[in-house]
Amino acid sequence: MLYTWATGKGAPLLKRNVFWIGLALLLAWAGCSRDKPDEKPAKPQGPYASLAARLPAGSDLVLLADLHRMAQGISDLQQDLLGLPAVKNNPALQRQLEGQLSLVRVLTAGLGKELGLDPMRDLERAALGVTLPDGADPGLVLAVEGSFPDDLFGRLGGSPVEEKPAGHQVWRVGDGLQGVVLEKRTLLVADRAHLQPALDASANEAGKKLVAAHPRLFSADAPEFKLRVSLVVPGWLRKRLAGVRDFPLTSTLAGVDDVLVEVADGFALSAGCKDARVAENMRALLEAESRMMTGTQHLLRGAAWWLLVMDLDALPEIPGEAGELVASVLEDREALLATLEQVLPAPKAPPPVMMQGRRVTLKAGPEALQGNLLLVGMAAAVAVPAFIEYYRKADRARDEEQEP
Amino acid sequence: MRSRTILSVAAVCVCLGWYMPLRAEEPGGFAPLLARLPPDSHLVLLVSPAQAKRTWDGIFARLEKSPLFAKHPELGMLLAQQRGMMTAGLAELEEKMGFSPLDDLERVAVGMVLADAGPPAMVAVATGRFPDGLARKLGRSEPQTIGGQEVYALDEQMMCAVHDGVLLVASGDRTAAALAPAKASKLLDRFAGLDAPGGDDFLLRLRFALPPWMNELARSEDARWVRTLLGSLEQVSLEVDRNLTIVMTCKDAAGAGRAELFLRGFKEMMLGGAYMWRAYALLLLGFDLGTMPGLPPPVQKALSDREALAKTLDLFFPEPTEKPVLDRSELKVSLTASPQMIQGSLFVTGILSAVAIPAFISYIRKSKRAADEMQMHSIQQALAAYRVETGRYPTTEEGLDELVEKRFLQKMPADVYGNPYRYESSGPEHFALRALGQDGKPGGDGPDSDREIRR
Repeated sequence: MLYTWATGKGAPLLKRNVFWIGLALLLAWAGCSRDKPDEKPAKPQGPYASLAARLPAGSDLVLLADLHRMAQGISDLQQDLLGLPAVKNNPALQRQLEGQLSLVRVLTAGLGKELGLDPMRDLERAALGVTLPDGADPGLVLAVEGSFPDDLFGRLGGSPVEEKPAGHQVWRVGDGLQGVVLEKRTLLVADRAHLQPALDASANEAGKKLVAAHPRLFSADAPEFKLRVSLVVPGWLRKRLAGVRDFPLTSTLAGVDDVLVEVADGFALSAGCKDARVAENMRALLEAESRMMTGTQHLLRGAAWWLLVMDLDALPEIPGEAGELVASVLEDREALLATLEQVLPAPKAPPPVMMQGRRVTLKAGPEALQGNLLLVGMAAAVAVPAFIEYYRKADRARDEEQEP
Repeated sequence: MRSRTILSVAAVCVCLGWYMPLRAEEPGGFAPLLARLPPDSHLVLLVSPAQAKRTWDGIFARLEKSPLFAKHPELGMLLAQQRGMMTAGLAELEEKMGFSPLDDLERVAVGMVLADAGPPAMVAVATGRFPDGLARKLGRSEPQTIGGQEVYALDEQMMCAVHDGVLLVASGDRTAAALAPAKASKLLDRFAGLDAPGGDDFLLRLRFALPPWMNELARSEDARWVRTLLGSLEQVSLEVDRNLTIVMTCKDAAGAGRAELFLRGFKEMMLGGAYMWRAYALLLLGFDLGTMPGLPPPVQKALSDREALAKTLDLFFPEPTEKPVLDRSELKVSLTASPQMIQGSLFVTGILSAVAIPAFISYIRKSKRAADEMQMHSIQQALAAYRVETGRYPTTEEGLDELVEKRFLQKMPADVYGNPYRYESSGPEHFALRALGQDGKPGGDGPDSDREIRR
């Protein structure tokens, strides 16, 4: 009826134009608001594209690192160290630290001369791809961009391999690993099976497959990251985890599709889950992690204040210049307090945990990192060996049950 | 007009006069108990068991009303079972003594005099409903008479009596004074606010005045790490009612500065602990415990109810929001924390008692053992020197006295527990030197274990 009204015989030109323009706008709006159709896997874009193309197409774990930014971070850390009140107010300590730092620079320069590579300047970006097959050794390709001498691996003690694929000199660099420097710009380290495809980056489809398997790895969010790690949990591992019935957590872990860890100024951990229940469990776990990080920060601060209750000058005397230096630092309690406040600031609130569909993300600021590192360290030291031991026992028990 | 003013003032005075003594007795009526404590007590503890029971009951009542228990009444049975197991020990005591500490005790006060050497002297007094003959049931001896009262010995050091409705347990030498209450003014002079009204939810009040010998310890080599605080600390008080309040009073500004750092640390520890409890609660949710096989069906069903579980956990382990408040005025530093933070402090106390205290005790034991070994080594050297000079070791009869007599040792040594070393010789070339440990008897484990050197 509207159509007839607008375009019917005798309808004025204005009316007809309004109808068609209106319809076009309506369709345009509808098109914009519609969900974008699933895009076919594209090649990775951005600075890591050329490196990603060299990784194994079926990488379960991929790591991207901005080595330049990391080197800058180390250099900033050195400056931060010199700016700490306990250092700034203590010329002797400042001189000592500056001396140590320049010694490190001299050593690095010496090493650089020997290797023909300055790690603080010549390394740009790195990508690591690891395949985790069931019952076989992992496959690995490490690709680094930067500025390298052709004979770097020789300088590092590698031995040359006779075969020269595509005219490249290949070096044995370790247990089953081989290394190549391509046109002084790219360094490759890979196991034998993956070296050839890595060399032939332009011909393989690894980049596209990686984007499909690890879609968030090349996302433009937080482009200034230092480190990004994406793990797509292999199906065989999930199946095996799901088989462990009487250990809490395994049912949740078996439902995790992928994990993305990103370190920029702060830290982000995100997990994609197979269903809503797993996502809910994951949210609770990450919220627990967030509270543990905050709690650990408070506990560390508490321990630091309790340390200051003590008469630190009653430490057993350290002989020589070092002893005098330590004594001078401990004497200036005000600077020590200000330093602790700077190094261990009071956490404002627990890092937030967000949930979008079946993806759960924990985002923490830089100050929460130390608490997190401590927790990860503790987990690695206690929980992981405990789980492995449990898993072995479960395996043994299963084998014994199956024996006739 | 003037007479009316006078009458009004008089009326106010009369009211105040009536009210003040009442207030003075109000810390739950602890005044009669305070009068029995040693006036030179270094540590005074007031406890309200009635409030402890109310708190205990309150926790169970909150749990029963929580969404998890309200939605899953079958859990109530399990809770009642658990509660029954917890109180079974008390029920046994009640059956034996005709007395339940949780139901029948009203107020408890403890005073301790800490001596530089030797065990502390203690008086503990309590009001409540005590059955006839309770002291006799508790005692392990025939009655004795002290100050005209019948008292019973609990062991070699402690006596027990019920006098004027007050149950009394005291060190032998303090029993007579505790049976004849005097005014507590000396005690109240030393511990300001000890008799302050406690309020309805008063649970515990502790005052600790460091004895001078403890301050003097600050000068010793062993305590050099904490000399500023220990040498300056005058009094520590702790009060638990609705909140937890800790006050540290020092003699000088340097000490108060350290006390402030200590309480700042404690504040952070409490916050950290509260966050850790919250984290554990969230872990319970994340672990999805309802899916674990082997759980009793009602528990499994309840744990699978995520909404109710989350709400219940929120109720007991909420997001820490109320930070403890630290305050310093001159030489006094105080920290006040909400109940949620008390939970956090329990976490810290738990860690301390699980890790730090055993580590400290083990350190003390090891250092005692090391000191003992060093001392035994020096006796062994003296024995060797004696043998070089005389061609033999002292006989069993001569013993270690021979070493002192002949000036190989300056004085007769004793082990770190004050027990003499045992020396035996089975010939001119042989001896055995023994330290018998804390118990002074052969054999035993831990601190009671023996050490021996033989030649």
